[in-house]
Amino acid sequence: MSSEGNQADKKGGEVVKSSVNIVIAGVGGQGAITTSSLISRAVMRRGINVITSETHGMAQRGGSVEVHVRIGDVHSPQIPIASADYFISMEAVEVLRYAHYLNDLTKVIINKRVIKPPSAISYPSIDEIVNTVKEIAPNIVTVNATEIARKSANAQAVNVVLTGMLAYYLKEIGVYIEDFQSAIKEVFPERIQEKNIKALYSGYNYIKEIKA
Amino acid sequence: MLNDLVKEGGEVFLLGNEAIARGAIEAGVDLVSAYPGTPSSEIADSLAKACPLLKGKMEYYMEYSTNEKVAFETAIGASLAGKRAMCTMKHVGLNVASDSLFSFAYVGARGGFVVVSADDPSMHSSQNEQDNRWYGKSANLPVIEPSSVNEAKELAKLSFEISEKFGLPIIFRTYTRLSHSSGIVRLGRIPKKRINKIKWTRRPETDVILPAHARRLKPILQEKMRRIEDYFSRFEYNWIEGGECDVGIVACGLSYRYVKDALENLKASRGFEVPSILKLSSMYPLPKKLIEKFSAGLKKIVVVEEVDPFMELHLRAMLDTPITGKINGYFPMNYEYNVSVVEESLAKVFSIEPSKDYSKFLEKAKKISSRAPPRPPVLCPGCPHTSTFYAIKKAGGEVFPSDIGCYTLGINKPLEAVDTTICMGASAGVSNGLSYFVDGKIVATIGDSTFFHSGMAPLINAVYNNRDYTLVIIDNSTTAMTGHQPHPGTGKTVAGGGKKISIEDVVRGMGVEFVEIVNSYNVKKLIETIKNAIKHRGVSVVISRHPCAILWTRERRKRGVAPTRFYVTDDCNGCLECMNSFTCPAISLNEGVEIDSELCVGCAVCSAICPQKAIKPIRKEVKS
Repeated sequence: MSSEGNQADKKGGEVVKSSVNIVIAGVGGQGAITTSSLISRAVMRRGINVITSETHGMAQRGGSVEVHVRIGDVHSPQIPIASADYFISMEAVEVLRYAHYLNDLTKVIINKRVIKPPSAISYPSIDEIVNTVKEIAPNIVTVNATEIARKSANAQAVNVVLTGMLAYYLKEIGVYIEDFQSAIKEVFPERIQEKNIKALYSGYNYIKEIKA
Repeated sequence: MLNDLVKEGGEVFLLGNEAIARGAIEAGVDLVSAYPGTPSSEIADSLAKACPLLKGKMEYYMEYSTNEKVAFETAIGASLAGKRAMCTMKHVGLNVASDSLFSFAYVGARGGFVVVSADDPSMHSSQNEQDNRWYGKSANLPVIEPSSVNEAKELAKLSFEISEKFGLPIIFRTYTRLSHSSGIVRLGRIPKKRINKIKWTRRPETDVILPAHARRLKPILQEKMRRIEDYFSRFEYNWIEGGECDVGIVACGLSYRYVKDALENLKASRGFEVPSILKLSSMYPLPKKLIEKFSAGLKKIVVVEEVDPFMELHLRAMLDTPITGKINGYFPMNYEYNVSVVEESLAKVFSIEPSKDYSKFLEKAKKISSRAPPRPPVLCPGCPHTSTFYAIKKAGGEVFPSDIGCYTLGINKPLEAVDTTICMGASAGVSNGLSYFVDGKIVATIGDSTFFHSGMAPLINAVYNNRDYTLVIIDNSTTAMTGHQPHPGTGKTVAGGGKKISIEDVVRGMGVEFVEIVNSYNVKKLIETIKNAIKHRGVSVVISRHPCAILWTRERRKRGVAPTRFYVTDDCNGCLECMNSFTCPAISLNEGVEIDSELCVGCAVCSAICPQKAIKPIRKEVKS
């Protein structure tokens, strides 16, 4: 019985030799956990191992949220210090808070959306944030995901736009946009699937155009 | 996700807590009882949602109990009736249930009995970092601890069998990083089962722990534990992985996964001889035979475990082999582990460098993260607690014992109306003691769910002992902080048809002479009422009642009622009463005071407290 149980844990080892670590940071209510759920389901479709871990504060809303997604030949749920391959900052300033996961090779996606906590007196500008992050991780893409979401679907789909952007990069480990499309169908109720698939592709194409 | 939880077969992606719930389902659990508490809540919530879906297929009872002790005893009842029972709680909840735990250990389980204790290393949402493996040692009960999400499912299921096999209640220990991780779970079969009643058979020789019985039962319990110790030496979830040197690592629960990651990093970057590993998922009693087999020929044993040096102390007492761990300073004594912590500690043990200079990265990142403005959790827009705290201060309260819930956030500026928080129900209890000595108006606060949990006994004590203080019961008609679970004051149950208990009737029944009920949003009346309560000599109770703003907003949205949002008119003179005495995440100071209409839920409390009457509803203003 146990050997069966452990196969699921050990899986992945045979399928993917390398591992990918993704940090998703944001503010409660932005949908960081949904994003991790979409990534995990897409990855699972390819028979690759995946573990996620979520950290959220005491209150329901308004606090900082940190989600880790670990793909491939990994054992534990937490990403080690300086070991993120990708970092999605759903709110602009959050990448600063979790800078300890960055290294010089981390690809950083910063959503320009700003959510000011009521206690904040000053708030860094997007330029300041980008320049600061560059000190550790120079590979940065900024995006107004809220606007893209509004144009392609609705403002609520910001997290799916950002998922689409990441989906472009995950081709390199053999996980494709179609896998994410299927994940959307698993996670969202039918009436909002189509809108979210649009949002997914608009994020995907945003990176595709930058790369072109 | 819910549909994955009740699926037959296949591989699904589950939260650790969902995996534990699924384990109970696959075990054919008959009863689940719980008091919610982070990080345990999703186990009970999942089983509450799955319960109606499995009706007619795999039937079980699921209840939210008034507190952990009650949940534990409810589960005892089921076990004594020969049924399989699980009760779930956070680590400190087991303190509440511990009276029952110690006695039930002597009685023993008849139907499989599993108590899930969700510990919280690093205290993400708890008041202490206690390690509940000690309960296994002190109550003489087995402790099982999974090392992954899939194992959480398998072991939760297996725990019922083990419990029945040995007649022992099982302490199933999980913790934040396991409960709130998700992973791939291979689903087993869901048994088909209807609930049936049984005929009660008296067994007073075990079920009534008179001193004479207890004296006879204690050696029986010890014998059961000796037998399970042998079982754990053959347990399929404890195993040895051979190494290349004469050092061995004992890796407990999830720490095993950190060890695996850390060793792979070290091996890849430093090329050292990999130590052997003893992976343990049974924490107590220690599997002596397996440990002896593992330790034979080893020069050094390294123990990797989170929170207390529990295994380490036992191994130091058991073996002559030198032991390394927390006690000799190689591993940190406090807070949760992760790969970086374990790798750095192991590197120290093996006198090599870690694969990355983690400390240097941390130091550099610290400078960057200091530029991020803090984002502390706050009371939501429209939270009725904000209004209550504001009123308490305005009414002249001076000493503020409080309790466990979202309202603990009343500690923060500008409210500062929380002076003590100890544990569930302590507001009323601490007020008893303070009232003997403190010269100042004591206005304590307690939530509705916390009041039912353990606020009633200290309040009766206060009435009986002629104490003089005011208790404000802030009734938002839910257990808000842990995810809106029902409680006796809501009358809602998982099965439906629960009876609603009136807080005011309970309080009056206790002999409290001053009992007033006020709508939390009616801030003026609330201030007046609390003033009168303070004047009253003896125990006074004010029930400040309004549904949690999240539920209120959700419910209105369902009914299609748009909230009346508010804005600041030109009459504002910048006195900042709405920000410096009152507070709301929707109110901020930019050019002048502004209300974010996206965040405003229309509670109108800011409008009521504005001295200039400069906060007006948007709709009405448009009309005039």
